[in-house]
Amino acid sequence: MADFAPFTTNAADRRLPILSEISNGMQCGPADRRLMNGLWWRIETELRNLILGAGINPTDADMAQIYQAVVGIHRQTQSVTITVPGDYPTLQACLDALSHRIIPTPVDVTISLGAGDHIVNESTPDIILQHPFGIRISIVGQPLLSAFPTFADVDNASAPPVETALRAKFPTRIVMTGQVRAGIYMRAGVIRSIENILFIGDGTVGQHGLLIGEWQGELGMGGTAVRQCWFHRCGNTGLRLNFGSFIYGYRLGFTHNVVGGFIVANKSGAQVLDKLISARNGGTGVDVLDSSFLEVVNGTFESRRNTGVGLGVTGNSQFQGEGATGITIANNTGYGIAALSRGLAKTKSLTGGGNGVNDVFTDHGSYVEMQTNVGTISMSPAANTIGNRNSYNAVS
Amino acid sequence: MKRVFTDQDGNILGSHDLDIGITAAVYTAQGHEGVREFLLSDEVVPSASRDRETGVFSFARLDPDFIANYVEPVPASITGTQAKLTLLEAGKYQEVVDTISAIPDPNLQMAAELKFNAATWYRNEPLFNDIGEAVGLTPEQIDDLFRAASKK
Repeated sequence: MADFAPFTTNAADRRLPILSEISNGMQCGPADRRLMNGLWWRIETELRNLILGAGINPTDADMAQIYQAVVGIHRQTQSVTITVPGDYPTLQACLDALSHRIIPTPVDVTISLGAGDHIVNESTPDIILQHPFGIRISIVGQPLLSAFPTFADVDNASAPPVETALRAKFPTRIVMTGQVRAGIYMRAGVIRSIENILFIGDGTVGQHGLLIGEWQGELGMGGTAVRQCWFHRCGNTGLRLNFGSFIYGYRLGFTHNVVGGFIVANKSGAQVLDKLISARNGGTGVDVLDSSFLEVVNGTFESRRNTGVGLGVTGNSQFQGEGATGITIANNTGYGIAALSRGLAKTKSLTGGGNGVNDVFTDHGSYVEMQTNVGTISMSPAANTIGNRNSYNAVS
Repeated sequence: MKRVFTDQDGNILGSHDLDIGITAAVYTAQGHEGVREFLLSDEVVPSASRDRETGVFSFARLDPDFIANYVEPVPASITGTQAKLTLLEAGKYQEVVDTISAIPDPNLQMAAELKFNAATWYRNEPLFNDIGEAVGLTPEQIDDLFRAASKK
């Protein structure tokens, strides 16, 4: 090892890994030969000293097998479905077991959450999703027992009957009680998908159904696909994205959450397909703020009977609904749509009515563009007129 | 200065620059009841807002005490056309013309005619109070005529 010189930039010292190396866990691309030799020498020396110290005298072939075993026990070589509570008693126990696994493409790990309530409370640790190979991990509940809920299914001022209706459709539930941060808390990383799960809270302050990144004091940037999930009666927000986080959503629902249904915050982004329903939440139905982006495409968006605003778009944020097949924002106690502080919203086939003061309120340099409204939409400022500090509601 | 429209509860329905040709009828047509109009300086027009801590949105709304004590400001100026149309509607146009014609001093009469035909009428012009008094208008009634004229 006399010529060992780490961190060399000499291209001649690099080469692509050979197939046998890849199959044994080396997939880091072109390697620095001398650095790798040096690292392996250190590992080999430690292992060899350990074995020799035990009075065993292995051959080189024996040592090669040991090295392969060390890599192999951390490497997932084929796709697998892990059941909870079958293989592991809890989702967190399963995630802990996976935490040191190498899951190379195209291997997929599916965590199959069984039917029933998976409890998160003050005595259980947070379920934290953060895995370097998270893009290969899916968390999947059992298939819905009937069609994804409609607004009519959940349109009840009382939360318990709505919970009963949702439970009848979602066999797999993550149930929060007491002061817990989230049903699932994601941080700094990507998870392939979260599917077929009903998140239920008990209204205790601070609860989120799915929280990606904290609001303060933490880097966010988590992302996942959220499919066929519903968030009910969380003490804070059903689903919240913070600081550069992102989701692709497919059929999402929010009911009776105390602060709001769905919040996309701090330069985060979300796209939702097929159905987005936010109803009877204590605050805002859907809130896009601080340079964030939400798109609803190829489906319907309903934000109805929320105690606050139906759709908030504030602080340089954008709501893109031109690709939706229909948008209903009605009977909210606050404004239907509030576009404030340079908010931008685009709607198609918008139905309003019954919102507080106005279906659409645009202020402080904001812009709302409405295509083919359904019925009368009340708006401030009046259609196609500059007002409210250089704001504009364009109706076509 | 902004022209601000509210509903019967004082909620802002829209605030517009004075040169935007919009009236209370536009907001009444949207189904709002008791639409009122206020003239406010830009910095006091209330905003809708979102509380960063709680996420709660608040309506843009005029304070009830402000509404109760509101006195519409007298515009500092109006156009000559607005002024004459308002005098006509108030049945005072010919009286004013006759009063100016009857001014005995030819220079004062000429000055009055020039001001009467000016593109802009300024409320602080003493002539208006003098002519107004001659046709039976108090300064307060002249203020009202200026307010009415500004909306034409």
